[in-house]
Amino acid sequence: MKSIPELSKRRSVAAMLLAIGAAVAIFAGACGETEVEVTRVVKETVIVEVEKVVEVEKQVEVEVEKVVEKEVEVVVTATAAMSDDAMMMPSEQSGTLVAALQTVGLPVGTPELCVPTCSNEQYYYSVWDTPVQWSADGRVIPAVAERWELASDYKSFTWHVRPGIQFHKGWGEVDAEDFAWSTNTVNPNVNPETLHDVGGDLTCCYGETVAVDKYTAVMEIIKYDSRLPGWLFSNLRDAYSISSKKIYDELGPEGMRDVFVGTGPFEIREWLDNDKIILDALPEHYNQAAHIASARIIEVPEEASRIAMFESGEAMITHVSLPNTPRLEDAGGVRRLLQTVILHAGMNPNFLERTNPKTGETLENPGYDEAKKNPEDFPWVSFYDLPGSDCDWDVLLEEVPSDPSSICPEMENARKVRWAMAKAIDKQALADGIYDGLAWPGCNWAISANDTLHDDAWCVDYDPDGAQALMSEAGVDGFTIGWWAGNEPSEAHQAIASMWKDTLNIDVEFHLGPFTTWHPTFVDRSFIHLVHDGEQGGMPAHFAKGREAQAWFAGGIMWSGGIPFYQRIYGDMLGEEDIQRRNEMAVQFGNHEAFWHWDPATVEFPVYTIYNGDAISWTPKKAAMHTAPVNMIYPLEDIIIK
Amino acid sequence: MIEVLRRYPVIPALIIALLLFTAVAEQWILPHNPERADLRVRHTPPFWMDHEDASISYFLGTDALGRDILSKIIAGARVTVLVVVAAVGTGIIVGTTVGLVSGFFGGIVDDVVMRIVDAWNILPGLLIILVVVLVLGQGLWTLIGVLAMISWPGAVRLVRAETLSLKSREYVSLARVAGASNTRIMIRHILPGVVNIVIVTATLGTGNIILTEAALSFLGAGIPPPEPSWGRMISEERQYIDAAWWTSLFPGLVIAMVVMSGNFLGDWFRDRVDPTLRQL
Repeated sequence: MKSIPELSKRRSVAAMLLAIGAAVAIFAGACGETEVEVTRVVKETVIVEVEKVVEVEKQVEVEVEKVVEKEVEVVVTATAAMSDDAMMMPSEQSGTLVAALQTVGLPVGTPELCVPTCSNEQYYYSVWDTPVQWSADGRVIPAVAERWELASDYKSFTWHVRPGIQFHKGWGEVDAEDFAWSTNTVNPNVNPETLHDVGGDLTCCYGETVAVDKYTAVMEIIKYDSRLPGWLFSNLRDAYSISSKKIYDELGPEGMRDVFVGTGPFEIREWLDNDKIILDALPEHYNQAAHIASARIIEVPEEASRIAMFESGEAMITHVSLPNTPRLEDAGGVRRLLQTVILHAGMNPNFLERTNPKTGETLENPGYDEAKKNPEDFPWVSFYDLPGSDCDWDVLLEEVPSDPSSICPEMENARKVRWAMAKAIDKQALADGIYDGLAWPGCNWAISANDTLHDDAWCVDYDPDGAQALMSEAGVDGFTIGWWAGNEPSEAHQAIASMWKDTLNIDVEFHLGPFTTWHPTFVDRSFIHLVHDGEQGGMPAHFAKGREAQAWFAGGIMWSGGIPFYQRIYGDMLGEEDIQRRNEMAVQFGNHEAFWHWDPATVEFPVYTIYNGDAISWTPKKAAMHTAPVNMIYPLEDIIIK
Repeated sequence: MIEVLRRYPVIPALIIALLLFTAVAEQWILPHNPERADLRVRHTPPFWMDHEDASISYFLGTDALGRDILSKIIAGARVTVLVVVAAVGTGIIVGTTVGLVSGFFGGIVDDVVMRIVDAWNILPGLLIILVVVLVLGQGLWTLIGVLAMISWPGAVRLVRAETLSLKSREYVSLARVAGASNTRIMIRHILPGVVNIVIVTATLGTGNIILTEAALSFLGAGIPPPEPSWGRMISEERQYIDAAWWTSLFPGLVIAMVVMSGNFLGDWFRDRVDPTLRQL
């Protein structure tokens, strides 16, 4: 047994070592070392110290643990090296960033009222903070939550709120009540009135979040979500942010609508809808203070005007269509890849799923029933229960049918039509023509051709003769097909429509209108048209795609959501903890999709933010993605004006 | 020759005649299928430009999808003529009928009709049209319907005013004494007297309808693709206006020329039917 003086001496040595370690960490941080490296070194020191003292007698052990706890506090300070680093440089915050974006959007301060088009939750992550963040190299990193734990029984998830985070404009410190309220208010399982975009995805898996002490909140898990905590809780996609319960309590949902208070490194000085946003950098921030003093983001809808502003130096950052990016590069522009978008033609709305895989309830399929009245008008739909047919629906549950000859003619001929339509699309011409060679053909709508899981066997080459042969085999000679194209058909829509007309005598009828107008037809499953959609190609392939699980719920809000194999493989993927196993499932999904071609990919293209490399330097440490990032600049705090 | 050009709207008439001809003879004179995309010839410049891709085959160049601009303009003429004839025709028929009835009967009928017209005139036309299109969905007949909605009130006022004047003429009184019914008087004795005004109104309204159709197409609320439309040609290509100016310029020029021609012809008709102006 060691004596108390010996332990005191050990404590002194340990404290000294830790102090040296912390100092080295701070020094390293100040010298530009990354936060991650600093954190790892210090934490290892602490862990070793705890292990060493575990064997001492109880009374002494307690004392030593107290010492270690204090040292951890020191370590936490050192861990936030980047914070200190930034906080030590407020005098260097200088310059005003000027950005010209297509839109600055319409903000909504109340999280539950933030419909899918509201801007603050989706884009301005440098003003609002999500529970955690997604690093540029694809990891979940702390933000408002400094730690998190999944219970061993997978029934709950514990969030540890970082102490000391302040809401903007004097609205006080963030605590677990704010965290729990922010999470609950966007979660339809707790707040059925929520309109928040993330609500639909939360429904599958998450119950109420409860604050158990000042800085700890526990979230009930209804169904384990293997994407935790990166998906839905980070800025990887349009997640929700942590907002102030105090504001809500004082002002109510309508009063909070125009109060824009977050916890990010920038606060809003002025936000004029569809005009401009003025942001001021906070001199200090718990995570990372900004290098610039302020940002002025101007709405410039016309691309030609944005180009002119960039070329003249009036704007330092902008977005333009892909073919115009080389032009901006000639003017000193530097591309920053935000994400890759995979365009795909969803050919089977919620047609084929008969029961809710989650509850076993029978699903109403009015769209399918309507189409079934005149199946000859829908030759691309694999009808499984036409009068007089003898189809085995269960074949839809197989990764690839073990005996393709067992597929009934009604389903098989429709498969051939879908294959023919895929073969009739000259993807390389789309990539070269519309995207000036900066895009590439897509092979799978959910897994990018650049993904390590990609399989060349999933790709369909342009083959007009083969397409016509397949149509002949299917006994189909031209038809008219409806295609919902949003507010206006894009160039890709029109080019593909022309290719189908040329090769297969398919007439495309475009049905136009905003998503909100068509949304009810997705919900009640009466939607019967094609959709050319954009998928986030940067999303990890082993993440279950949220929208495909939508058919689990009454309605199912999305197109192509009713593919039985999708439902099951993503359900399995959602509950599978092992990434390797999830990767295998992703490959199974790819094989299934390649066989049936429910939703053929057309083209993949990168989305860039262009910044003036002569005026600013920008090495983003975090990432966010969205399929239409027309008004996203992130993260602003990493931008340095030269 | 110059005197003829000064006295008669020869050039506007030729332009309108050309418009009508292209609309009718479209299928025989189209150089290319206006809906067919060919991405290999994307943004080919007009044939006279010093560019390796320029070709007489694409006289006015191609758009972002490689569709021939000239063919799209010709095909767009058919749509424009159809929309103008249907919308203006419907508007004129409705407006003339309502104006005749209002002016002829007067009293409470006239008061009610004119208050409706007053109310109709203060409505924000374009906004109403956008809402109707959003609700009913885009399409040719929706577009014709909403354009007719905005074209009838103008005719009502003019026809009513002329009817008020004509119904007090002696020949109308004599017809009444002879036992003619109200309907017969309106159709046989008053309507011929307001035809000139109707023609002028229709001609002058043509330009307005073309511009409104182009504006709606530009805003994405016109006829959905792939049906060619001059307004949407400008809208779709505006992002390339500096790199491929021909894609927006030529449809813009055609719209301007047709609208101006319609207005010149309308002015000329008005001068011809109004003795006061004719003497000037």
